[in-house]
Amino acid sequence: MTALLRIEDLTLGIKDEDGVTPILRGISLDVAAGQVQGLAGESGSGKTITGMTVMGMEPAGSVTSGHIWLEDTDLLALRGKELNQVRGQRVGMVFQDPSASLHPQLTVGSQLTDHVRYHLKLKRAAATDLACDWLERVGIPGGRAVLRRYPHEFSGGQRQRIAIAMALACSPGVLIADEPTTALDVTVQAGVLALLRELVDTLHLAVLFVTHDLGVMSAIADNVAVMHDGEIVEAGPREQVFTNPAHAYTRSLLASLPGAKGGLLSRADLETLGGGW
Amino acid sequence: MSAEPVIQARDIVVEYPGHPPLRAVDGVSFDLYPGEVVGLVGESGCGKSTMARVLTGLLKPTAGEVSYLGQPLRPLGIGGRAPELTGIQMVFQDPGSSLNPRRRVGKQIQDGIDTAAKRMACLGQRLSRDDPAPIDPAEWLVRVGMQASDVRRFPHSLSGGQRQRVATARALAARPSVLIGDEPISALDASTQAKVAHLMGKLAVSQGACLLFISHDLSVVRLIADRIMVMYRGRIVERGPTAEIWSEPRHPYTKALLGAIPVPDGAGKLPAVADPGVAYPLEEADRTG
Repeated sequence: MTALLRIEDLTLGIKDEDGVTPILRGISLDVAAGQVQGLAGESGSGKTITGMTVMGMEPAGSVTSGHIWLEDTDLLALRGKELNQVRGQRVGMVFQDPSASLHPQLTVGSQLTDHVRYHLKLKRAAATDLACDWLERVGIPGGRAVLRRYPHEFSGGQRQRIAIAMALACSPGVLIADEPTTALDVTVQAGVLALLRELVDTLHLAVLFVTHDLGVMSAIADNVAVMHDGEIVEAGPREQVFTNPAHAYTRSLLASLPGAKGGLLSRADLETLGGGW
Repeated sequence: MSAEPVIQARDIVVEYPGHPPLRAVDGVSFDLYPGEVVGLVGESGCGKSTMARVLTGLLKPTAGEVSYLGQPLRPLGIGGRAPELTGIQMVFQDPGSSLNPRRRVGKQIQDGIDTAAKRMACLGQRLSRDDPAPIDPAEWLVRVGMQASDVRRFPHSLSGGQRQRVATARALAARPSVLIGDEPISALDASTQAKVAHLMGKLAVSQGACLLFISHDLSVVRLIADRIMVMYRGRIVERGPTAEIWSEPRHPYTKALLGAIPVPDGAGKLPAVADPGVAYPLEEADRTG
């Protein structure tokens, strides 16, 4: 299987008065079509920045090296207009908080059609039809009338479904999902995860799925990479990473979780945690 | 339970003004006993945080009554908390905003100790070195798993987990008989959550206090709570001993909630999806027999 998205030895540092602070220290990942590549880690490990860098949204003052191959294009070398041609069209992104990523003053319809008209050069009517199809696909009932409504009229789960429709409307091959279910209730999360999995399987998307929640990771990822301090400490097929972790950090992460193999299964297990971290 | 309850909540109703008014809590009753850890779980909007505000006196219920140690709980006025009510302490979700950023953590824990001293003075008692609870901030920090030298640090130089430990120390230093944690671990990294939750439960119980642990995360609550109460749309729909609720949920909402928890077992199994349109019954599940 060839990788649709290939991150090769990506490093990123942030420049300040004292020099360059390293954030990513040589990340390499392959994401094939139809596969969900999970990227796990704790806050500050660099998992979000990895996703952002693929989208060309690294923070100001970043110094990068390495390659991010989207088929034959090196995204890291693209600037300005060329990058805009890729973003939204060939790579879509879903963020953590849909109430922040959707524009509160624009209707769902305009947010679902603006980038489609720009990227795919569609007429308004054709873009509207496409938007309607997408709403149905992500499970938002109501058809055309929904397009005239505003984000605040929807629940958190529905907003995230709309954000997913937005990210996929131009039929990108790659989706970056940064904690897409973290802001949702568990029962709503279950629905959004099922939707994402179905879309991955039917559209053969290559997904980079960033999350700190190893339960979610276990549910949706095909391959898992564990990040710590800007490095990938362990990567492999999901089952192997969860049931037979090779790296001590992965083991300690799993040991601290309720329900994981070698993790916390009963109250007695809590006593083994100790006071430190 | 043998002892008298520390908190008795009776038919609590809270309505927020609006057209029509929003009934956030709709007739909730329960007792909390010394030395137990009770989990109050539910999803956003179910009224669990409103319940926390009622129990601490931050919010006056529209109807119903809370009594604390047998006395009716008076809502907080402008003048601050009456000394006898400082036995109810709270740990909030975000220690970044509940700790004062400009004061050293030692000083903030000292506030808790002073609160305990003030309350005991009202009862004609004094804090003593022989008490099971420390009267020195440094000792408190050690007890919550930090260094004694951390008393001189400011909150910004601590990690999220450390800050929540400080907030826990501050609340427990006031020697509460009830500690209420409103989503105290949801702002923390996954690997720290169980540790901090465990620490809160262990320390509260060792002081003879009750911990009411409010959370949306059943997988952690199940590890530390003796009893669980499940809230849905302002009602308690199921309550019982943790192990029984976990292994044999009876209310359809509890079943949906438990089924939706993704387990980090590497099996690649998607959690069960409930029909989003379904409205669950609001009657409490019968767990007798």
